[in-house]
Amino acid sequence: MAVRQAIGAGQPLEIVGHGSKRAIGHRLATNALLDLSGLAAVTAYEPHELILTVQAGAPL
Amino acid sequence: MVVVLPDTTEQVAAVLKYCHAERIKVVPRGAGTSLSGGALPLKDGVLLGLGKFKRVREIDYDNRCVVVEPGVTNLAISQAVEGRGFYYAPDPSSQIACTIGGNIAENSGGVHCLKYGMTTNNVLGCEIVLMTGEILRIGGKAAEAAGYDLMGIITGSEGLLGVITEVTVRILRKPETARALMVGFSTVEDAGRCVAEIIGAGIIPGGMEMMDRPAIHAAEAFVHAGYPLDVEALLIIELDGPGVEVDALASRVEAIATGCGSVNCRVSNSEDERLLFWAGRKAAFPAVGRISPDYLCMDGTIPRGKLAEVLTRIRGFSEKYGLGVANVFHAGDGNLHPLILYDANKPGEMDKAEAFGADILRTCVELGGVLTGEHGVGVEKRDLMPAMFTEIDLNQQQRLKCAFDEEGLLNPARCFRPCAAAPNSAACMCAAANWPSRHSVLIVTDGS
Repeated sequence: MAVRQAIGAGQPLEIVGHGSKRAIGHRLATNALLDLSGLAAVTAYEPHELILTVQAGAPL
Repeated sequence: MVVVLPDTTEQVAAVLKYCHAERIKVVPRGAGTSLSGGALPLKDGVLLGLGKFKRVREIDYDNRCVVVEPGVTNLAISQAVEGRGFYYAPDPSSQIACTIGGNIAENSGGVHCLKYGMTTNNVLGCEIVLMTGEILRIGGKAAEAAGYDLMGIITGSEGLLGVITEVTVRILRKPETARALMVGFSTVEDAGRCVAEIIGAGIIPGGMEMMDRPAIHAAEAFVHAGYPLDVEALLIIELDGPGVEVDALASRVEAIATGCGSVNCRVSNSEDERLLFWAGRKAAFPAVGRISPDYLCMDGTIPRGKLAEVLTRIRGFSEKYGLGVANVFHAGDGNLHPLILYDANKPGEMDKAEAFGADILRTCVELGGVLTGEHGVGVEKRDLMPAMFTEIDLNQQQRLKCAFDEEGLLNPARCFRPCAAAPNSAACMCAAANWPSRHSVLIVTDGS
């Protein structure tokens, strides 16, 4: 939805997680921010498959 | 058909540049051991044989890598460095014949990829020639490369993106010791549970293979490895590393197997015995060839936990089609190799075997697995791709093809179904996906 809106409005979009490196370098000149830090859940853990499924904003 | 056997990267570039200008299709081919028809020649194309590219260019022990030409066999890389105690980890069963260029094209695996990774985890860089004749260098000797991970895209691209003319692979120190356990189970379910329990206990064996009753009997009759004949499933589990660690792990694995209801368990006590345990597994394919005039070797992957379920389903298909099947698995990573037994001289049997195989692969996808483990898609599984991928997925893969070879001249009609309107044209698929490719601009400027 956010990506579609940004494309529709022709707006550049800054995508950010917990922003641990955001202070480095130039700030992006965008009006829109897509914050993925809320996507922090571990959605599946299957030890017998050695698989962990997590959302993009999950802290390591 | 024309066969060309170039000797240098420049010759490959010249051939591809010419074919690109003349709109001639090209099929790159190494040793031709593909099990998915990935390098089948075309009657109206050029077959680009890379058999002359068989030099080891550099052995760099300091950086633990080897630079080779694509026609070097998989085993020859290990042989080139074994004197210093090193080896190249991926070990497909055809390793004495298959070449490293083809291994990259198919992202080949092998018995030991459970612990040491597939080809993609062991390749550091390559030189490829694009269909236009442009020469591209990807990656290098370092583990990290800047920019996109193009090495990850080239590995497993089945000859659709470029012709590999040089490869840099990682080499590893040979494990100090290795011991194998041979464990029999009275049910496939118990064996499947044992595989899951071992992995779940945090033990990653060097290899973990399963054979079902027909495969055990065929292998035992062929090589006399001492396999038990009164079991439904046999696991061969190899543990490698420092001797003390291996001994400790062997006891733990033995205990887990007992807990899962194993009916017999042997641990190798010498290198000869370890090799004997493996001999039957390694000879399983030719062994099955002795009990059936023909067989179709399938290759699919499932989550480990579904082993027993998929085997039950395969048995059902076996009854439905009236064809026998012997199962050999890389159980540790859920990679199945059902061998469907048939007789090509009996009318209709080959079609039945193929339908049987397609049912197995659809089942793999249905159970959360994938269409292929290590043999690639090629022409064999091309038409099953929509069972696994949505149209959006397929279009995105097709766009990647177009970024490297927009006319679709390189290894055409592999992996992706050719468009009916313009067979073998990659670009037309992009057009079908309403993608504004560079090619559509080209058509305009052509004025045609």
